[in-house]
Amino acid sequence: MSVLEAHALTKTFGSGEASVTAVDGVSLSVAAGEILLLLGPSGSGKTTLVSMIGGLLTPTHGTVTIEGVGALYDRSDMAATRLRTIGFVFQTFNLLPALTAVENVALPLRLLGIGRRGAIERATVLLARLGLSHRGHAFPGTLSGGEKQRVSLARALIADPRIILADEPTASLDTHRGREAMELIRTSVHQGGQACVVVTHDTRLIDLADRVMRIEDGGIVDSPPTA
Amino acid sequence: MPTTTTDEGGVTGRVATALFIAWRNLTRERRRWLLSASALAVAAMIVLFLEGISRWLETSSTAYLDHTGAQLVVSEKGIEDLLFAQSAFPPRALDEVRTIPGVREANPVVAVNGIVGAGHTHLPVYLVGFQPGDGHGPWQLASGSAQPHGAEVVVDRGFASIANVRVGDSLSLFGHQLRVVGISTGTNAAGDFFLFAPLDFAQRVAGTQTISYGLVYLDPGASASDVTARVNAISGVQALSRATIAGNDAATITSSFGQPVEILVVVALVAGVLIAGIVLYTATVEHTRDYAVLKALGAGRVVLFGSALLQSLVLSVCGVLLGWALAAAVAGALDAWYPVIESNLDIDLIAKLAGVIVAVNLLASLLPVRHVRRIDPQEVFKA
Repeated sequence: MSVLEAHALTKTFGSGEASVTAVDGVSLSVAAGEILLLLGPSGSGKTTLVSMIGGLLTPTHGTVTIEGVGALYDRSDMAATRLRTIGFVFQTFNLLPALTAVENVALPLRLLGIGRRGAIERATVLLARLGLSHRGHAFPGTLSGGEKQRVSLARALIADPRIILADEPTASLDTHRGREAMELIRTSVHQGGQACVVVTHDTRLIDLADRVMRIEDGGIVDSPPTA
Repeated sequence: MPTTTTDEGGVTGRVATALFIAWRNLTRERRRWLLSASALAVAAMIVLFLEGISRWLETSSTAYLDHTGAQLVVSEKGIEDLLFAQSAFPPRALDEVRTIPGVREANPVVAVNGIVGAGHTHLPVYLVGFQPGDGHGPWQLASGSAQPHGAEVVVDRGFASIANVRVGDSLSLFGHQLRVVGISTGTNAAGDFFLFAPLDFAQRVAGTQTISYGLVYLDPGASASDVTARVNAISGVQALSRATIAGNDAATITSSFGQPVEILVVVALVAGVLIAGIVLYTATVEHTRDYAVLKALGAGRVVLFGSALLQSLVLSVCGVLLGWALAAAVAGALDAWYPVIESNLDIDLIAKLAGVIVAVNLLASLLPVRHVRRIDPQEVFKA
């Protein structure tokens, strides 16, 4: 059974003659432990698509279901759903600069209302698993790009989400670090059984995905086999 | 949809998280935080200092009467205040008052309003002529004696400072040479400096043998209204309660000086709101990206708005405390260098104003809260 299913997702900005359709009728499904790579150039609509899947943007048409339950785009309900079921990995990491690495990782748990001590303990264990036990008390400003992305991944995984959405996770890293980060995502997803959608324009990541879909001008143009 | 973690802490945990994020945002940029708190402190200081002046104007205008402790004040018929009108009646009227049953004491006071030269300026003074020993002279001394005799005078501390006189110095007042025997404090009635001299000297200055007021003390259990009625029956004089006379003085001072100061306080408060709004808004806008991340992760309103509000609250409280310290320092400096105007920063005034200022700042923080509400979580996808 698919963990994530999107059906005929469409997003149109504006109205009338000035309207622009950024995503046009995209359907996809991702199974547990599967990495789907959405490959497309800049402006192809991949970020809009991942925003709708992640509940950050309400689709004009179409539906998203997570483990068979339809996503409600009501503001408060969707925020709570995101917190419990979706982990984000961003291109620019988006770590809170005022918090240490371990506090950033613990943040989703604290947002869920879990006490500081318990949240920090779990975050420390996860950071150690990702090879960052020695950098837990460092602030993001002192971390390397690769370390930041590992902290970002740890934050995405800490609340045991069912879905990982990664937006250009390697774009701010050099080739070596980028591949390392992607391999880390791959290992974590395969071990944790999450459904993972990675949007990228980097064709070098194709071999690390379980499945690839190419998106252009808001629509899926083909689904090339993985390398 | 599945829930993979439990909500162990509930709202309390989220409030703690909001507080934690607010505190970290503030303390991470200490210089910025200090600048913001200082800007709020300056606004708070102006409000506190001006309101302290307003408080001083009101309390100082009645200080003399308040300290006499008299229940009734006898004055010339039609005169209903102490500081501004010139009351005069013959001493025998006060002799008659003393014969009224229930009157324990009726002490004469001669009051003369005038302007005298002091140093390089001219100052308004209120000369009180009293009988040494009856307790109607200065009630608080900085130095010297409270009992002038003959050609001696006790002068207010502010007057002494500007006139540059000390105990033992000679002073020319109203064309008479007097020796300063004491310097009093708390005797600056809203800028009108009290000077205390023997009764007969004040009568000489006034150019008459009349007296200005009679301070009446009643026997225990005596009826103030009965005594008042009997005094009012005496030709040319009347009796009013001390509270009435003091109230009239305070009302005149308030309408003449207090209201303009209150207008300044309101202006300062409005300016303070604008400063607070700008400071708190800027502090929030700088963290727009962080709030977008929190929104994208799924933070609820308690954390989002709570952290913005708590950031404002912490800044405001620090601003008020710093503003209080600044206002006290300014009041102290003014008192040391130019003791003509005072600012009464009493604890109850501070507590009241601090509440108002923090509330006003929180009102100003609605602007950043509105900003947070409008942040698009898709900001997180921007490189």
